Amino acid sequence: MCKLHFWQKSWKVNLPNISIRSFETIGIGRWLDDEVINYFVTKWCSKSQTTLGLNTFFACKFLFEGSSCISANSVEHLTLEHESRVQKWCLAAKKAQNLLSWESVFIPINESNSHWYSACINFRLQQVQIYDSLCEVYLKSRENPVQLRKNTKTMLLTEILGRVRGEEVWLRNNPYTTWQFDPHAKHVIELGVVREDCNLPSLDFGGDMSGKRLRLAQEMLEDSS
Amino acid sequence: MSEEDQQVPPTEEDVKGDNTPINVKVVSSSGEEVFFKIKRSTPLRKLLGAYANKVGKQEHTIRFLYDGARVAQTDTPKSLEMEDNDTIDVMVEQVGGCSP
Repeated sequence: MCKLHFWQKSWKVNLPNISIRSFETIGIGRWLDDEVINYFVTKWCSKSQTTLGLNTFFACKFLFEGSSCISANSVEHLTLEHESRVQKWCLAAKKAQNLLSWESVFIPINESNSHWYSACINFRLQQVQIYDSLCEVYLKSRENPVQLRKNTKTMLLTEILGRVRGEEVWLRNNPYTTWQFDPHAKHVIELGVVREDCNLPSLDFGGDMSGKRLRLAQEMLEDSS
Repeated sequence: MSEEDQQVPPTEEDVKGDNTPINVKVVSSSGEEVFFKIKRSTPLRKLLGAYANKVGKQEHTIRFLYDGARVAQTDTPKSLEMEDNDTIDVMVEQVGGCSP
C-alpha cells in the first residue's frame, strides 16, 4: 500500500502554509494539525458558497479562556472592540474564500491540543450546533447551567454574527427565541469538520479511517499539482 | 526560512517610498505582548523568526495572523497596509485527533 513517506519522495506539496511536516499529519494514526484543518475548511467553504469557515484560532481567541478551549471566556458581553475584531476576522475569511454572502458559519475548535471538534451557526435553519465525538465531555458539560457550559459563548457570537449579517438575533435571556441551541449534539465526526447542514461535503470518519485519510492526502496532492 | 537572516530590521531591504519603521505589537493567545520595530518593506517572516527566537520556539510551530488573516511568507507591513502600533496575533501549532 502507498505510504505517505513514499509520497513525500515522489510528490511535492506546493500549497500555502502546508509543509511536508503538516502534510504528514494526515498519516494514519497521526493527529491532524491546524494547517491541514484550515486548508480544508477554506477549500470546502469556498466551494460551498454559503458557509463562512473561520480558522482554528478563532475559537481560542474569542470563545474560550486561553488556548486550550476548555472553559468558556469569562467575558459576559463581548465588548465593541471584540465585536469589531470578530468582524475583521469574518471579513478576512470571506475574502479568502471568495464568498459573496454566507448563511452559516463553521468554526473548528481545538481542545487541549489533543481533540478536534466543531461548531456550526446556521442562520437559515436558526440553529447552533456542536459536533463533538467525545460523548463524555458533552454530556458532562450539559449537566451545567447554560451559562457555565463550555460552548455557551457561541450564543453571544451568534448575536454578533447576526449584526455582521445585518439581522437582529437576540438569544440572551430570551426564552421565546426561534433559534435552537444544542451545545453538544451527538454527531460522531472526526476531523471536527463538515456536515450537510453547513452545505459542506460530509466526512464521516467512524468507519474506515485509513481510506478517508488517503483521500484527503490525494486531494491535497492533486491541488498542488 | 530558518536559514535566512533573522535580524529585524534587516539591512539589505529595498528602500522605496515610505519605508519608515513602524512599531508592531505581537500578542500571544495568553495576552503576552512583545514589541518590534520593523521597516515597512521587511517581510514579516523575519519578524516571525525574531519572535520565535525570543520566545524559544521553533519557527514552524508559530503562526502569525493579522486581523484574522494568516500572514504569508512574503507579506510585509506595506503589503498588508499596516499602521504604526498595529497588532499581530501569534498562535502556536495545534494538533488533535478524535474519539475512536
